[in-house]
Amino acid sequence: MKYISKFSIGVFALLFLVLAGCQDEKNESPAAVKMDFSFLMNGKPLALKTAYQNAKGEKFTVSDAWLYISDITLKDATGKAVYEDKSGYYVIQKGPGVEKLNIEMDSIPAGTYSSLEMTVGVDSVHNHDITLVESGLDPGRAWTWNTGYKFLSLEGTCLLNTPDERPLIYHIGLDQNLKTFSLDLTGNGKLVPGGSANWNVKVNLESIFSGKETLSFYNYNSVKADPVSSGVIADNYANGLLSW
Amino acid sequence: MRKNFLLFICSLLLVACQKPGDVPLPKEKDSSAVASNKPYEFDIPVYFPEYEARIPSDNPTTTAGVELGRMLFYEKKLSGDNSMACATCHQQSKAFTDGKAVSVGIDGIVGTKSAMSIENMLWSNRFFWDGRAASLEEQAKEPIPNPIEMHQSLDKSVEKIAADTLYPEKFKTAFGTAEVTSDRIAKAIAQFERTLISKDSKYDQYLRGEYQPTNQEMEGMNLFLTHPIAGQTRGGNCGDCHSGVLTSGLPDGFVAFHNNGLDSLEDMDPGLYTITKDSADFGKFKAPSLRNIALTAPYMHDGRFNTLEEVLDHYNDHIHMSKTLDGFIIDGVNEPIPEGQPIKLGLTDDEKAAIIAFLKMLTDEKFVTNPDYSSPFKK
Repeated sequence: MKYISKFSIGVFALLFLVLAGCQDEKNESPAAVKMDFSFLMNGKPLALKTAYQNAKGEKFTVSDAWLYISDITLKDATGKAVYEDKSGYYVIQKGPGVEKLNIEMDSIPAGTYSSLEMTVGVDSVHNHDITLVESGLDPGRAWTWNTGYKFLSLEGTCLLNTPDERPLIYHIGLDQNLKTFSLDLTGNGKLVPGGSANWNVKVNLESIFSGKETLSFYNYNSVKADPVSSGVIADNYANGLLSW
Repeated sequence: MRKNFLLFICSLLLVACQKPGDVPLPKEKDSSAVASNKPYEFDIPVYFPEYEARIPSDNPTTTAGVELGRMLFYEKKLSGDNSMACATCHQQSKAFTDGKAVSVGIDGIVGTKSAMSIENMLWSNRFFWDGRAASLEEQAKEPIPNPIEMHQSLDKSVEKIAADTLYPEKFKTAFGTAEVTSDRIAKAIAQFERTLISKDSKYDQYLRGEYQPTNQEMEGMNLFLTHPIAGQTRGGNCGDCHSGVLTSGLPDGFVAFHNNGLDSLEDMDPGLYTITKDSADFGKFKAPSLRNIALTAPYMHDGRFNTLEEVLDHYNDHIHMSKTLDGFIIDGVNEPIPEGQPIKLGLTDDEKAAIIAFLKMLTDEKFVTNPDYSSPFKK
């Protein structure tokens, strides 16, 4: 009898340990954030195929807009990067029959953050190596392995006063045009253990057309892998493309 | 007594630690059934885009589903007079096309569209030239009852398959029940079609560092991938629509649909407009993958071009203007076009030949001879 009961204790102890091991660890739970993006033109939600005017009064429509978001980082008050997503590349898009407007971030250490940083584009290492097709990278959004991925794409029509309309095609890529944006989280950056937050980020498309240089569609209706003209456009949107 | 207790505890432990989402094994003790349904293991090159999320959650790809789907793909009983299967218009040796401008059904009725190649369908989101099917499962159900194609109702098809002693057991292994339904027929065919992956062409070998293209092939590849800047950068403008290593339109919404200047407005087939009823979509068709293009003549939705040379000549010299002509084509010119003049791509004869040399690199001998994709039936 004595022998059997020791055995039973041993078995129950084993059972307990195994079942306990099958549950999640109850250390401080990480937090999660859902980022919702919205495409805006001059402060209002982007309507595809609707006529807008650029800063020079030239009319245009947009049929498809998308960008690559990468290297999402959360920094604390000292500027230290506490959370960094170095391997996620996210397409944010509004186009014909397609809307990709969310990024879900999980496993964020609970804490109080001061800034959210995001890069529009793909880092130079991944931008030139087809074997590094990590989460979210789609070679269909690249030109070649010399020039790399498109970072921002805006397509539509320029409605100019000429006999034929011109296509509006901005495919901005190239390492030189990688732009990082920093959004202030002061007062809004507390993430509690096990909690989840919703952050809304605006994509202000009009920033593409003016800033360092006010664009005319007569000169800038189609811009691709040319360093000079793409650089002008990227320098424009470096100021204000992403905001709260 | 102790031994039984131990066995009981061990089985409890196994149950406690089971992860959700395991493929359920059939419950009977029939060892052949237990062994023969597993998740299908795809072998996808590292440089292809992601695919797992593209498989519908209500139709995971399993070995038994794929095997059943292969049988059904080659099964002539799915046609009214038992003369045609899916494979009749989708022949493996022609990268799953049939070498005809437009396909012909069991009643000898000539259709209006060219049979599309079935390859790398994991990275496509809309099917048929006009994009009317939103999944492979949906697409598979259409040719069977279509009077100008296989001309047999889905109900009749279910009846014939259920009556064939070959099938009920296969359905049981694949779907857990011997009951044949048109949904399950379509699901099995879709599972099989997802396994048709083309990834061993000379282009793939080049991407893997296993093949060194000729100078002409390299020039063709660069032209293919480059959008020209008039007077500045030479380009064939192909990659804008035939994108990335798959050379197909991106599988998002209707992004992959374009009007490529085949016709002016009066003669145009409505294409995507039929689905969206948006006049901006008039004359737009799916930009399919160009892999194995050397094997899939004739070309375009109605098979109007017999050779790749004719295709290049179309893009270079015969673009028809219309309100919905694609912006990439309007913008894609090698020499500046004076106002009001027709759009010309402006490639030289050598450049066109180079692009064709690159297109031939997209032929995948392994794909068209892979026994896993061939008919399981003896002739």
